[in-house]
Amino acid sequence: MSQTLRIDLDSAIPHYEQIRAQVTAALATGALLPGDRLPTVRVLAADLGIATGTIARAYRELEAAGLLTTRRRHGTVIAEPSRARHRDIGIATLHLVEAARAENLTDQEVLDLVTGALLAHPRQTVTLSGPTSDAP
Amino acid sequence: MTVSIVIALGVVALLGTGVLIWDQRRTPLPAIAAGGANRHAAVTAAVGWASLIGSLAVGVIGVMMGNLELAGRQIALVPCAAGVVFLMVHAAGELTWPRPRGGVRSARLAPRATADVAPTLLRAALWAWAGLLAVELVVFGVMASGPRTITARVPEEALVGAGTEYQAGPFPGWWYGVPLLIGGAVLLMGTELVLRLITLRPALVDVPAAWDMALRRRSARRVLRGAQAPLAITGAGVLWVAHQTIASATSPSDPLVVTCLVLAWVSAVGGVVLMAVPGRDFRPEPAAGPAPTAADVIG
Repeated sequence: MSQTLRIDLDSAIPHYEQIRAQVTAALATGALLPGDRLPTVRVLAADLGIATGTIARAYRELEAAGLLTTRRRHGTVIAEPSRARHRDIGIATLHLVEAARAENLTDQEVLDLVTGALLAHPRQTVTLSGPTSDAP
Repeated sequence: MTVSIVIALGVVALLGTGVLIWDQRRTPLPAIAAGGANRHAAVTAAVGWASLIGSLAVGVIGVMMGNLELAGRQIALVPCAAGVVFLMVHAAGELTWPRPRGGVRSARLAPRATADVAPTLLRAALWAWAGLLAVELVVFGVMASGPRTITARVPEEALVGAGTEYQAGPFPGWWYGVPLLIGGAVLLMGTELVLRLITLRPALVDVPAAWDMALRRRSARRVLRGAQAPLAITGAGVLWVAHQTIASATSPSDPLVVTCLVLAWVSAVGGVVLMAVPGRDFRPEPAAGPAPTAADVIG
């Protein structure tokens, strides 16, 4: 496992949220697998040069979402998958990235494509009065 | 006398610098940051070795030449004190390790623990010397009849005072045992603390993970090499003094005397050899596997 975590200190997105999102993404794409161990809070805080509380909060959020478990002798590990519906999406995302790499697309171009696709297919929110769209 | 100590320290410093230059030359440097980190580690090691060897040299030569008027307990604590100075230098080196800078930071999601960083055999040697020292101090403390003496008996065949008891010394009883036990414990815990600092120091992200781990292991190896030697030397000294006194009270061929003598030599030679032999931490690592593809995930 050589997954790299990257945080932007100047970003408006909170640091713990950046960490949480990247670990979730790594899990969805198979870069992190159930049973993989994560660094301790202190190690990750030292490597990123940020407060241990920030890492602890990100880990807490991931644990609350059922993605991480903390075991006394094993430390923090990726939990067994309980949300199998995300597996297919993770595989589809990997196919997308492989195809984009084959076409020599930049990361930003791939993100633009995904953003465009999301805008073209807005999420349907179920309400009492029937499905509505997130789109403005 | 002072001039000879200065000359001796100068020779040791020159030899140490030469070894460090040779040592650094064979270190592959994959990035500019790697050079800075390697330099920081090398400077820490140089100051650490100079402080350890310098403290030991000043202590031993000073006591032998009579320049340092130290009591027996203080002399016994010289190696531990040198070890503590050595550890303090390394702790300072780790605490001043370059911190991550810049607006965008990155870190590998790979766990690491002290067990991954510290060479197993050297760490085992450290604990073994500490254990041996503790056992011998407790055994001699129980054997001693006074704080620093042991009861001996004049042989029955002696012409004068046959069968009478007398106190033989110096013997490493509790007078020496308690401060040495404390000194050994401080050295052991201090070493573990510095190893933890090495584990927790920020990783270098623009170099391969294996290179960062190799530099970490080199630092840990240096700390363990330097810290185990004072424990081994202290243990050897205790055994040597006990062997001398027991031999004078019983016989030089007494099994306990022989055992003490053998263990003293094993401790002294073992500690010095382990301190002197450098490790080879920058070995070629097997190439890391490729990132997972969709086919891998599907299985």
